[in-house]
Amino acid sequence: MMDELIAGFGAALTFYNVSFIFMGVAIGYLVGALPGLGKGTATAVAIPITFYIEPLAAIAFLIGISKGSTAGSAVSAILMNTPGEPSSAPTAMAGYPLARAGKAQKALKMGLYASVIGDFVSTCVLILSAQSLADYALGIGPIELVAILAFSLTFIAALSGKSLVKGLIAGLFGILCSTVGTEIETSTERFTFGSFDLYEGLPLIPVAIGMLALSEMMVQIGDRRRLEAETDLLRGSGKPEDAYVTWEDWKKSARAIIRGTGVGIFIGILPGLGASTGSFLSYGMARRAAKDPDSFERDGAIEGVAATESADNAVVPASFVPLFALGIPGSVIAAILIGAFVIQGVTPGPLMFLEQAELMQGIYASMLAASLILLGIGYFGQNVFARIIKLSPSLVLSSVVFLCCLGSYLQGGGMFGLYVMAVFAVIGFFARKYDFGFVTFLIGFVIGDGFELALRQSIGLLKGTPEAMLDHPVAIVFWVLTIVGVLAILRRKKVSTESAN
Amino acid sequence: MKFLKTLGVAASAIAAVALSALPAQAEWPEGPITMLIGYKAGGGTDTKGRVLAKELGKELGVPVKVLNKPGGGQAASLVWLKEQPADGSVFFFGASTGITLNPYLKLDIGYTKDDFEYSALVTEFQPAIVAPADAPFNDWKGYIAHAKANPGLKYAALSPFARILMELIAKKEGLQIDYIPTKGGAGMVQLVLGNQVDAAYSGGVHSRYPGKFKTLAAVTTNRQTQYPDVPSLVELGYGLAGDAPTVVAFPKGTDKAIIAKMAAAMKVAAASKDMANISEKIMMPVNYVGVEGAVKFMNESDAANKAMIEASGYEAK
Repeated sequence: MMDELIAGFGAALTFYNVSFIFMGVAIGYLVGALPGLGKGTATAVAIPITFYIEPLAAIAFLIGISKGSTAGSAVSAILMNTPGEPSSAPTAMAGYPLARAGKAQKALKMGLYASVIGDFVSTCVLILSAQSLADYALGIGPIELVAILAFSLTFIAALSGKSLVKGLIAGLFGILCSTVGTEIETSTERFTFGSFDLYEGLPLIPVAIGMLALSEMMVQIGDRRRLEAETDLLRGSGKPEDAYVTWEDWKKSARAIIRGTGVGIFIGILPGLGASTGSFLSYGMARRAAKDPDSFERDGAIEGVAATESADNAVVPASFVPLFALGIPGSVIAAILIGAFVIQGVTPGPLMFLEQAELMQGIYASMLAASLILLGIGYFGQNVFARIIKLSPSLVLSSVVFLCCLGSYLQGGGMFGLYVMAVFAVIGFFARKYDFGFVTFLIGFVIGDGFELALRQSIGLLKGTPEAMLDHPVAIVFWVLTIVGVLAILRRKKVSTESAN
Repeated sequence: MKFLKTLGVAASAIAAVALSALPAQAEWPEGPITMLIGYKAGGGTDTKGRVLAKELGKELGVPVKVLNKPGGGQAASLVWLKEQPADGSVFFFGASTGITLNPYLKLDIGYTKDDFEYSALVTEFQPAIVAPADAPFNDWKGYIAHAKANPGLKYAALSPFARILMELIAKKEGLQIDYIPTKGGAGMVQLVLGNQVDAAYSGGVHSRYPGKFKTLAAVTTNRQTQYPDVPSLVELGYGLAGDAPTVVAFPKGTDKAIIAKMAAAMKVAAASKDMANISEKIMMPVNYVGVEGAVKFMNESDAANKAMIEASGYEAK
């Protein structure tokens, strides 16, 4: 194993390959940092380029893009409150207040370090135990998945903002939006109003861009005078300790990073849950572990940034576990990679390790190299982006709006994507103004689809006999934890209302 | 003199422009063309389509872009195609059932087989009914016997057609089957490898997992070269088949010369080394059929599917 990996390093670390990994990470980081554009856009656009380069370099290039953009999305989240991707939404919640307090540099650096740690550990787990983890993931069927999702929601409920009821309303509206499209069992259309564009449901990227980025731009444009006054502060407070990650910050964030990495790996290896579930769950857990959870969104919290980014990045390599071991894509990026692999003459799945052992070791070595390159590019890239923020807000805001339109057009099937983005920008604007958690909306929207499928599969598999649940101990454990979690929320709620009175 | 000279230059320039414009007008394609795919990026059809697009681009001398318009089992893309100009600038590449079966499963779908022109058939799918490797039966007969003895076996259906197929079989054999919905080939593989279901419909992806599946019956009319010992549902006496080659289609009224030129280019692209490589990897054999054969197949397939759905008593929604 070790010998093979070392041989793989020999194959991977040629100048040719390293330059493609470098380019991949750099492009990914840039695209991720630009609000509106994300890894989906970047990899889809890059695939045709990979036709003309060698297989190992091509795959390493694409993996570099996905790693880079996952980490890069924290930059716009922290500096502008516009997450580059849905999974970085909690980074904005805890990181933007830090930036407004003059601690942008500190938050950016912690985001990067947490990203790299999560990514690196997760890559090592992938290399050392892909096969055994994949077998374990297969044992997680729809019945277990429903329980795990319900359990995650008890933590995510904490993200609902000041009012739990408003958060729930937004979350349920998100689930309602996720039901648009062709229903899975009988192919009946739901809420499509005869439009074929809606047959596949509302496209995630335009909805997320409208809700997260464009609506925030609308708020900021309306508040331009205040924003211009604050731009000075975003440049930094001038205090040296606010520009670096101090020992104190590390102590605060260590637990969050370890927890986040674990959560990211766990969610990543289960096909169909996705990066957003991982980062939202990790943030929710960090928030619950804190002494004063509400300070996360009020004053910002370095450990909130660390929790989100470590989980977000740990999901990516972990989602390759089912891809490499079983040929099942565990995430959007893995699905796009399947196409790239096949074009390069490699079929993802168990045979890959037998037929293309050398290539696989090369890919592993490239993934480790990409982690280190990410650290370097992120460190220098942040300075460049921090400088952009110093430009006049009217320049920055209009560029961001343009990028939002571009991303929605590319990922939403043309003009249709723009219409969806516009509608959800308006909804997002009012959600912000009236403090309906737009993040809980997004969670409902992202999880709704998979939750419905797993639930309907479970009902079929259990055949309406609750005692059949006894054959699923993992599911029972998660259901018990869910109930405990719900009780804890209710108790906390009661305590806080009493103390308020 | 100088004026005359200028005039001469101008005249020859105009002539040159006119001359160069002539062949460009007659010769399709003049610019980049678009390959329309009715599924999301990353699936089997998309992957094949992208390799084919690359080879076609070399053959036609213009870039061939891929446009994914997923939704409604290719219906969204076909409705869109119907509205496109018939100038050869966009063509559809996908499973023929999107055109010959969808209209019988769904009312008001907005198109029929007569709304398109057909240029070629390129590859074949190898759909089958499959079971997990450790299932307590080895062949179709064994499965039916097991299902009769154990009412309520679970069957994973990844599309309405996959479900209808098993419903018809269950009706004929008097079986009671529970249907578990799933999304795409990946979802099906997960349920089967995780031993969540007893049998499933596979569009062909199962052949990428040697030793993990038992192939019970071929859903093509004839047996598949890869599984010579596995009978087809037609052979087994059910009269059911879901032959679905990938078809190249243009909007109605597209010039015959364009259709013929595309067919010729497709023949070369389909025979390329990269295409052979991919077809082998994803087990979708290349079987090129030209314009006449494609039109004939589409007509026959349409009639056969119509008869099959009518006979089944399935009510289109």
